[in-house]
Amino acid sequence: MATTEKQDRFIVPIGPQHPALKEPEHFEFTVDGEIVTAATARLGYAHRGIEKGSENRTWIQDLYLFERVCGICSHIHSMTYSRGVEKLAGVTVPPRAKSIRLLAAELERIHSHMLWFGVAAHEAGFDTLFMYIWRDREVVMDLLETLSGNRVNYSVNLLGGVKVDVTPEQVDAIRHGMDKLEKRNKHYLKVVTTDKSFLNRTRGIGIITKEQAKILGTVGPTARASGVEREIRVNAPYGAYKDYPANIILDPTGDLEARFVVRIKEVLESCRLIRETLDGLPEGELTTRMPRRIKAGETISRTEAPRGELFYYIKSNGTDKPERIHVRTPTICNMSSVLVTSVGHQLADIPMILVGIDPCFSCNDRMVVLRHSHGDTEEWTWERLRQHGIEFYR
Amino acid sequence: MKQLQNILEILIFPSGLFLIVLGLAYNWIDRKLVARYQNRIGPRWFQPAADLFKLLANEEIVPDGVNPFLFTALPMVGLAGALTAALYVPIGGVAAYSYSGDLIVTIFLLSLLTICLGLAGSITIDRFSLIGAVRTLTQLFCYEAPFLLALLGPAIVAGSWRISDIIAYASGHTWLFITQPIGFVIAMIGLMGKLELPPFDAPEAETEIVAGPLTEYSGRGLALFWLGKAIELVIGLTLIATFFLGGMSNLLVFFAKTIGLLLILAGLQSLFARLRIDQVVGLWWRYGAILVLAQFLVMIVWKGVF
Amino acid sequence: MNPNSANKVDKDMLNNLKSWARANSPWAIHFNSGSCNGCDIELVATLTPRYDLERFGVLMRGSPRHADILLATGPVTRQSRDRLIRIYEQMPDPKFVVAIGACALTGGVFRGTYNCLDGIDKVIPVDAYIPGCPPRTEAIIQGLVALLGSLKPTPDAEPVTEETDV
Repeated sequence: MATTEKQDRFIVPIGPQHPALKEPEHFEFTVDGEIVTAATARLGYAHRGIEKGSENRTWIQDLYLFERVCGICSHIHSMTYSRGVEKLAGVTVPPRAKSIRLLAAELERIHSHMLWFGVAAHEAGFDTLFMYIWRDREVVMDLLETLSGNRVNYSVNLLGGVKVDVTPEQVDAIRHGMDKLEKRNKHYLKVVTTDKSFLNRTRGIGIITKEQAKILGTVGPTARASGVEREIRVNAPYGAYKDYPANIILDPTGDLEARFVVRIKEVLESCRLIRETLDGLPEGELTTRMPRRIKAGETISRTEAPRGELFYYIKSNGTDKPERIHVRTPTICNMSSVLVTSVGHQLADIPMILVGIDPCFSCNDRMVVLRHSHGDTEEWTWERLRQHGIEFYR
Repeated sequence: MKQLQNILEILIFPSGLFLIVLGLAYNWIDRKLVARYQNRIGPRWFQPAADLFKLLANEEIVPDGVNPFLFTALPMVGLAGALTAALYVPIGGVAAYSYSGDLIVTIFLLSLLTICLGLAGSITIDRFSLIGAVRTLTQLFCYEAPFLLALLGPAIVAGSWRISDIIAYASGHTWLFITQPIGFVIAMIGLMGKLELPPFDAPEAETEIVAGPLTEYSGRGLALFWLGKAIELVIGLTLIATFFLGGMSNLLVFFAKTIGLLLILAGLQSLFARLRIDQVVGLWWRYGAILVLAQFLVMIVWKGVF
Repeated sequence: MNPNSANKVDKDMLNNLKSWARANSPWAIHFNSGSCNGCDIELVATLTPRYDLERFGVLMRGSPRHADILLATGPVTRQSRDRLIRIYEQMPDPKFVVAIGACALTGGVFRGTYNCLDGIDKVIPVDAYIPGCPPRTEAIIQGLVALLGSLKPTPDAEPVTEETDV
């Protein structure tokens, strides 16, 4: 607005501080009236230098660092990391530990999906639904707290096993909680598919076709809501998922409603998985011995986080510190789909589309943009940042 | 003596201080009810008063690039409009002033606040305010005509455009809520649109445009706009309760009716997802205006025949 | 009673009213300066039915102009630093800052990484610290209530936020 050449371009900035985003990220939507004509994103506000920082810490310290890549899907991050490290060290995790990891991962999926559902309802201006969902979400938060003693960063994992055990009382509590959650989520499934005012905001909005979803490389529920069969738990089962196979949940529609439906059905699927795991919980040890130094080598580790495929690349040089760890999180894969689909939509739908992929920006920031006082923007690419990091630690 | 009484009427009762206290009370009831509907405890009874005093005591920031005079004057004009409108409405039983045609004046004075809000949003260079202002004014053009027509329904049957005459008619006949149900519903929803309550809160949709026209306001300006809305709530509810729910027979019964309306209002607020601005326009012009016009026609024909 | 003391009483009453209102109507704004979301989701959870911060009059506002309390989380990354300062400056006086979570206090687990400034108080003044990784919802509420308690007018103490006449 300030300069003349921008006169006909009206840009609405969203973020880094904006009520629609709980995290600092910057989007610029060019609008014509209420219609969005172009969209750009500026990432990097949450770049903390975790990958570089991990090279400076021991394998065990890194477990806690990677757990804090993202507070919402903390378990899956530490689980993927420890699976990779265990693979490098050639250690097999006891079956009971595997089952408990699955248990925590599925409880976390329920909590994450319900959290997203509530936030998305809030974006649609449906605060009552938001409050109801978050009230019911406390059930699963309580279960996670009973299991691990913590509400958010559970630190269930250890290298070579798990830290917590499941007692028979906890099994009862979890079963009881699952009953409650299943009942409530079936109700919410009815709400999102029948409530007229909510459907006005979701049905036919933000459609990602199957082809688009494939080309843009979307993962997780976003891809599955467009009918793309991408689900690591099914495509490449890991850990206890080999014994308790998950079912893939697909919806061919690709609009926002489909993303709601897929996620709620996944919650129901998680409830089923948790029940089956509890029924067949194997007895035995919780941990195995883990060497302090990990054998030199490199590996990858993939899991299905609540938001999609989570990918760790781990390289060891035989010391007690990793040589290089790379994390690819689902949000960075899904980001481009937001920028593509938001064009042509109403400004009012943008928060919904943005939240539709369940963004977790704290996971994905890889680049820093510094703005100097004289107005120039200097972009620090990954190479530059890495160079800076190397110099910083020297 | 007469003058003193006039001044007292304007400053203390039935308008002025009494009105502000009532506005705060209604605001609290509304917030509390919405919180209860959402399974929460909700704010304490003195919450609106604390909010008001705090905002008044806060620093008022005038952002760069606005006309400081307009920026500070608009909230005052808006609040003054709402307070003046209250002079013609018998909130505590009797109105301070009354003359034939005061219904129209009241309704237009109520719109003054919305227009001020729109102007306040459009004089700043903040993008959220601008979009909010456009939406505010768009919404004004949507509900204004149906809302007016809905309130004119009782005026037509009473044969007068004086508020007190209409109320006298309403207390002497069957509740107009039964004979003019469409008018009642449209008036209630129109009031929600006027006050930008959910689901008609597109002009200040928090998750899209932060706080709409009020984004740049802090301290006193915000307090005055907020107070103006609280007073509009009182006026709107009073008009609807007296017109459609059997007049102003007894103060206690009247307040019970108003709180009943507030109960419905809070329920409607918590039942729906926010409407997009194009959906708001569609809703009003496709259904609201047509329905209220149909009722209007039926009424005129009825009046002509009998 | 001489006019001076009457004036003083009025002023005291006004000050008391101001601090009472301030302590009872804290409108908050939330800024995440690179946190892992753990604190942020717990902060959102405090608004929801089980905890309900509105009991204490806390309203979450989107615009810094409406807010009195800045609830800041995260270790302050280099890129979000300017934004944090800008939001702080956009808030009307009197304003308070609450740092939530271990990262916001000291940088927490990210302490020493090259892109973090290790704590909100390295950038803007902080009035209350709530430790924990993440702090429990009850802890967040207690921290806020403690901050509000310090704003309340007490009979023997001067109001915290008001400038006093010499």
